[in-house]
Order: sequence, then C-alpha cells, then structure tokens
Amino acid sequence: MLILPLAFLLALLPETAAAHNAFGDMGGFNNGFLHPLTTIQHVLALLGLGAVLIFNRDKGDRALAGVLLGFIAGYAAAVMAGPFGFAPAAIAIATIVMGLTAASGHKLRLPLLLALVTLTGFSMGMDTGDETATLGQHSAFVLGACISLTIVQGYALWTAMAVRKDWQKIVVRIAGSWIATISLLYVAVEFSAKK
Amino acid sequence: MSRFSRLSLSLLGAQLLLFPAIASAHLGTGAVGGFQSGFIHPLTGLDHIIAMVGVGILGAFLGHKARWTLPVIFPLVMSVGGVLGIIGFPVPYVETGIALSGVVIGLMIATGSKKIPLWLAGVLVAVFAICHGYAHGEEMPGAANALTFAIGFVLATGMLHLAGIAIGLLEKVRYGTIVLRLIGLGIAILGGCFLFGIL
Repeated sequence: MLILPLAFLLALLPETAAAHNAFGDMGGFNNGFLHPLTTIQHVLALLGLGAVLIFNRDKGDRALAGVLLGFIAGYAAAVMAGPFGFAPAAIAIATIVMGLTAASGHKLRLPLLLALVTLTGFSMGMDTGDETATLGQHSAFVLGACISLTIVQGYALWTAMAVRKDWQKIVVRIAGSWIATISLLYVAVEFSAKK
Repeated sequence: MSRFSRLSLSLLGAQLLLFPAIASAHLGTGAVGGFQSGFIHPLTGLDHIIAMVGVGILGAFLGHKARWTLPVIFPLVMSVGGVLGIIGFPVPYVETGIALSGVVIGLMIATGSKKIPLWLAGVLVAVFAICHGYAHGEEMPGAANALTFAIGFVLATGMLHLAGIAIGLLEKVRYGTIVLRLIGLGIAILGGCFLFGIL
C-alpha cells in the first residue's frame, strides 16, 4: 500500500526552471552585489589580485588602503564610461598579468602595483558597464558591486596578512600560474572562435 | 496482489517511463559541460598522465626550488603550446615530443641524480610542456564553454602534478628513493612504448 503515496511523491518532485536567470528581478543592488561573485571571470581576476596582494602586504596599511581605493575607483570609472564591448578580453588580459605577477612571487613598486590594480578594476568595470547597459540598472547596480568588491578585497587583504609560511607562498605562486594559464587559454579559445 | 496495488504499480511504472535519460554519448556543453570536458581531457591519455605525474615526481626528487618551480613552469608554458594548437600554428613532431617527455623525465628520475641543474630541468620541462599543450589545444572541443573548460583542464593537470609531488615525497622514507627510481624507470619504459608505437 506504500506504493501509491510513493507514486504521488515522485509526481511532486520539483523541476528547476532553467529558462530564467537565478536573480533576474531581485533589483539592481542585489544584481550588482552578486555580479562580481557569480561571474567566473571576475572571481578569477579577484583571486589573481588577492595573490598579488599577498606578496605586497608589507607596503603598509595606508598604501594598501590606497590600492584598494584605486581598484574601486577604476571599477566605478569604467562602469560610468562604458559600455565598451570588449570587456571579457580586457579582464582576461588583466588576469593573465595578475597571475604571472603572483607566479613570479615578486614584490612590485607601489606606483606599479597601484596602476596594475586600478587597471584590473577598470577592466572588471568595463564588463559591469556592459551588463548595466543591458539591464538598465545603473546606480543601484554599481553601488551593490562596489560594496561587494570592497568586502572581497578587504577579505583578500586579511588573508594576505595570514600568509607567512614559505609553503603557503609556494601554494600562492602555483595558484598564480594556474590563474594565468586558465586566462591565456580562455583568450585563445575566444579569439579563435571569433576568427 | 489487490487490484489497488496493481493500479499503484502501474502508475509508478508509467511515471518511471517519463524520467528523462541522459545522453552520455556527447560532450557536455555550457559551463558545467565545459568544466567536465576540460577536467577529463588530461586524464584520458596515459602518455599525458605519466608526463604530468613525472614532472611532479622530478620536482620533488630534485628538491628545494625545483619542487615548486617545475609545476609552475609547466602549466604556464603549456598554455603557450595550447594557444599555438588552438590557433592552428604548425608545430612539428608534437607526438614524438610527448612520447620523449615520458622517456626523458622518467630517465632523469631513474638515474637518481640530484645534480641535474634546475635551469636544464626547467628548459626540458618547458619544451615538453609546449608539445603537451599543443596537443590539448588542438583537440579542444568547440562546443564547450571556453572559460570553464580551461579551469577544468588546468585543475586536472595541476592535480596530476600535485599527485607527482606527493609520490615524490616517498624519498623521505626508507627505500623510498629506490621505489621512486623504479617508478621513473616505469615512466621511461612507458614513454618508450609510446615513442615506438607499441602503445
């Protein structure tokens, strides 16, 4: 007699509605907040950025805060200036540079670090600019994205402070090489597909 | 069996018929399909596997800087080979290079010499990485999501290196060096089999 309820239970199994964006109508702020965390390219760029910060953590609090501000400023400037149309390639190139820098394990001079981080922020902002142009959600989206990115960068800095042992730095260098490799392959596939 | 139970069974059977079957014959598409294809790709060729694991073992065996330098060099240079393969730039003797990588890396481990200079090991690994990357790049499926394919591909390759490093740590235990040299010999023999077309 248990078969009948089981049959009904099976009939009630939910199916995912795959046709819609998971957070399509939740508002600009939510979309903006989740955008850097749910876009794989952005996550890769942020990981690369975090890896670079690990080798430059001895720059001092003020300098690192300036670097973080430069990232957010670059991001916001690109969103306002966009859409650009070639954002994925720009992010991938920035990520390659970040990954290679992390893989080399070298410390960068502060102006170079600031320029690199700001350009990475700019490239990510280019992508967001394209996105907001499509969605028609500007201010709230950018605000959400900037807050999300500030939290992520704060977390990256905090993690950077915790990496002290040699083997941890080796892991970061290997991860940097993986990040650069992934982005390089991605750029190659994308460009060859467009040819 | 009562009539009611028979009806229930019939209903259950009819419902089971409505469950979709997965067509496993095709490569996955989209983000998840791309990751799956990329992750499986380096794991499907024994010639690739022995070379990747061999690089990790060699790094651990040579010790110090080599332990991490070789696994950093390999994926980076491999991506350059991958780019050449993707854009279709002609590179001769790729398959020979892949087979030779097993022979050379295996023999370097099997000789047990720790006096191999790091630059020499780095250059050899880089040359072989071009061949491996080129072969993978050439075979990269067009339907897969490029980014997730690359993530899966690099993760699988990196895990093979890490597996090699883990095996290389056997050196620290008694008779571990002998075991490693035997493994190196095995890799060289397998590479030779690929080189002469036995495998």
